[in-house]
Amino acid sequence: MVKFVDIDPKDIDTSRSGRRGRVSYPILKAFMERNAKVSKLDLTGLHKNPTYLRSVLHSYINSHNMPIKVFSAAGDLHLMRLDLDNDGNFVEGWEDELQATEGAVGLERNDEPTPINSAEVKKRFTKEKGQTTK
Amino acid sequence: MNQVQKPLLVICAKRYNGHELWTLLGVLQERDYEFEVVSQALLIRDELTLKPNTIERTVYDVSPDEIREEKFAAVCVVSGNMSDTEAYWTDPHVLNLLQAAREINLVVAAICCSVPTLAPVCKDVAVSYFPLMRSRYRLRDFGAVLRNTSLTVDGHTVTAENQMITQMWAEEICNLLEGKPQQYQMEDSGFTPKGSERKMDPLVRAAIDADRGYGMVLQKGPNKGKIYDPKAS
Repeated sequence: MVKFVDIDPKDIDTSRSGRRGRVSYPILKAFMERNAKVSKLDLTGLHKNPTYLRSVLHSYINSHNMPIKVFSAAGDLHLMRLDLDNDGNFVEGWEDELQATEGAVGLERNDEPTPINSAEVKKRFTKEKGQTTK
Repeated sequence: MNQVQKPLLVICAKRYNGHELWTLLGVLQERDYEFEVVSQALLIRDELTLKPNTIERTVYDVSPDEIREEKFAAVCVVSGNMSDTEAYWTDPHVLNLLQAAREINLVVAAICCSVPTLAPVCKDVAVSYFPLMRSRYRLRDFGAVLRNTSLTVDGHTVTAENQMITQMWAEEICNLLEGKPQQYQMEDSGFTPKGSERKMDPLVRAAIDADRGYGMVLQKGPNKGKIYDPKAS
C-alpha cells in the first residue's frame, strides 16, 4: 500500500539548513587515508541523496584522476581503491587499467606487440570483416 | 602492388578504432595496395582490447615534403579514442600534411570523429561526419558542406559518418585512386539527430559568444538555428 500524508501548501517546509560545504573532498580524502581496498560509505549525517552523492563523487574522482571506483551495491554506496590489490599491496601501473575507451576492459593489453604486416592485417581483417560494431 | 604504385598514408589515433583500422587495411590489402600506418606513438593499441601493435614511424616523422614529393597515393585518417582522435583536429603537423596533400590534389579521407581533422582543407567540400555538435561547428566554421548521408565522395575527398560504413569508405578510396566511378550512392534520408548544446549559464554563454564574435543557439522552437547576437540582448 502506498501511503501519503495530507499537507496544506502553506505547511510545506521550505527552510534550508544551508550549505554544508563540499562533500567530495573530505569523503574521498578520508577514504584514501583508510588505506582499505573497499569501504561502504555510511550516509548517516551526510544529508545527501545517494544518487546525487555517487554522481558528484564520480565526477570528482574523474577530474582528479583518483585511483577510486565508486559504485552502488544493494542500495549502498561503496568506494574501491584501484591502486591496491585485495591484500592492500600497491598495484604498479593501475592507471593502465583506465586507458581503454570507456566501457571496455582492455583484456589484451599484455599481449606481445606485433608489427603491422601482411599476416597481421589478414588476421585482424578476417576478424573484423562483416562486423558492424566494435 | 596496385597500378597506383604508391602506398597510402594511414594516420590513426594511438588508441584506434579496431574495426575502422583493420577493415581499411584489409580492403587495401585485398585490392593490392601498400600502406604505411602512422600515429602519435610507435606503440598503438585497439581502444577496446588495448591489444598492442608496433609501427615504424610516428606521424611526426612524416614530413610534408614526403607528401609533396608524391611518395603517397592518399592520406587516410582513422579515429578511435576520443581524446586521441580530437588531438589530431588541431595538430599543426597533421594540418601541414593535409595541406601538402591538398596542394597536389592527393586523395584525402577520414571517417567518423576524425572527419573534423580534415576541416581546414575542406572549404566548400561536401563531407559526411559523425554528428557531434563540436564536429558540426568545426566543419561548418571552416566552410565544409555538411551532408547527412553516411558516405560522401566529393572530388578528392572521401568521408564517412560512422564505423559501420568503413568497408564502403575503404572501397570508395580505392575506386577514386583507380579512377572508377562511385560505387555506393546514398540518398539523403532527411533524418538529422537532434542536437543540443550543453547547458551553460546564460551569462557565461553570452560572455563566450561576445568574445568569439558569434554565437549559436540550437533549441526547439522559432529560434532554432538562428545566430545569437549578444549585443542585441
